[in-house]
Amino acid sequence: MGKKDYCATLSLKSRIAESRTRLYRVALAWCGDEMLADDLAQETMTSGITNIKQLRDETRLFAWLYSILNNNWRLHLRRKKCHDELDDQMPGEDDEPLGHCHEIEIVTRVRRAVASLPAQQRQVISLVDLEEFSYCDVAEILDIPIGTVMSRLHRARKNLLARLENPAVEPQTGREHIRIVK
Amino acid sequence: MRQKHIEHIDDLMVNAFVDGQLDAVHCESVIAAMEADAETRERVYLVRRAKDLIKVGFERAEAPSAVGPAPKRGLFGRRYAVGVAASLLMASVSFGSGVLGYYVSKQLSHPSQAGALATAHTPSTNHVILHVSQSDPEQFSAALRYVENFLDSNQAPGSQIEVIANSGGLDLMRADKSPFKAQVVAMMQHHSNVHFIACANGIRTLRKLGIEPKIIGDIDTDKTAIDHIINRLQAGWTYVKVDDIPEI
Repeated sequence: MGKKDYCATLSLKSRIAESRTRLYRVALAWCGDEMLADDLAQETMTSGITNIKQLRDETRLFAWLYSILNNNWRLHLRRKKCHDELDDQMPGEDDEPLGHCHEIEIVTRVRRAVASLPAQQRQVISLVDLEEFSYCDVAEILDIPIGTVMSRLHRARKNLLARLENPAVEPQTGREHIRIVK
Repeated sequence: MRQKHIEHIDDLMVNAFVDGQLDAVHCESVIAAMEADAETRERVYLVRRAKDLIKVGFERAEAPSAVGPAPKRGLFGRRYAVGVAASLLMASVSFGSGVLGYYVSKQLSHPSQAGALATAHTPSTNHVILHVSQSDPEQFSAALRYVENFLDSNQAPGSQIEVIANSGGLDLMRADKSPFKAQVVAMMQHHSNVHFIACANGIRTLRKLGIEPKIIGDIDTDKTAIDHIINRLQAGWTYVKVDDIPEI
C-alpha cells in the first residue's frame, strides 16, 4: 500500500471511529432500545473498519456505513426467531396532545411515537430527518426504490403527527401486512 | 420559454420540497401553490413540523458510556474517553492501518491459519480473539471446537486465544445457563493460554433487566467487548467472529 493510500485508509477508519453517536441515534430510532442501539452501532463500526477495503468511493462512506447498519438490524430481526410483522401497528398509551407537554416530555413522546411506527417507516424517516440523506441515498442504503422511500416517508410523517396530536390514532401502513416467519 | 408550473401538488411533492429533493420546475410549482392557497402552506408547515419533531426527539441522544478505566490522554494531549473512538484513533495514529488493515480483513476459517498469518507478517506469537455474540448452542460448540483446534495447531510458547462474549453470547459464560460450563471450566484449568471474557456492558444490561447473571468463576468481567477487541486488533491480534466459521 502506498503512503497516500495508507493515509487515506487511516482517515477513513478515524471517521468511522467518530461516527458512533450518529449511528447510535439512527439505530435508536429504529429499535427504540438504548442497549440494542449501542450494540448495533458498535457492530456496524467493527464491520466498517474490518471491511474498509470494500468501500470503493470514499465520498459514500456514510451511505455505506448505514447500509451495514441496515444489514445488522435486519440480521438482528431474523435472529430473534419470532414472528414479526414489518408493518406492525402498535397502539400507544393514552397521552395528552403534544402542545401540553414540556420539552423532556416531548422527547419521550416523540421517541414513543416513532417506536410505534412500522419498522420500514422508522428507517426511512430517521435516515432523512436525522441524517439528512437524499432520497437516492436512502434508496441505496435500504435497497428499495426511490418511490418506496417517498411513500414510506410521507406515511411516516403523517402517522407521527397523528400519533402525537391525537394519541388514539393508530398508524397507517398503506399496504398489506408482511409476516416474517423466522 | 418558461416552463409551466405543475398544477396538482401531491403529498409526495410537498415532502420532497421540504427535503430539498425537487428539481427547479417542481420547486417553483410548490412555491407558486403556497403563494396561491393556504391549504398548501398548511401541508408544507406540517411536514416541516414532523421533521423538527424527529430532530427534537433524537438529536441529543448519546450512546451509553462504556464501562472501563478512566479517560486517557491521546498523542496530542487531548483527553479521550476510553472507548471505541479513542482506541481506534490511537491505533490509527500509533500503529497504522498496516496492522489493523491486514489482520482484520482476513476471516480465518481454520485456526492454524492464524499462526501462519502471524508468523508470515510479524515476529510476534500467535494471538487470536474469538468473538461470540449470539445465544446459540451451535455457535458455542463451534467456538469451543475452534479453541481446541487452535491449541492443537499452536503449541509454540506464547500463543494465546481469548473468547470474548457479549449480548446473547454471554450465555456461554453463565454458570446458570451455559450448556458447556464443564468444558469452559476445563479449558481454563488445563490451558493457561486460554482466556474467557464476559463483556461488562452486557452484564450491566442484564442487571438493568433485573437479571443477575452468574458468570463462571475466573472469567474476566471487567472489560467491554468492543473496546477490548479494538485494543487486541491494535496490538496485532487476529479477530475471528464465530458466526463466520464455516462449520456453522
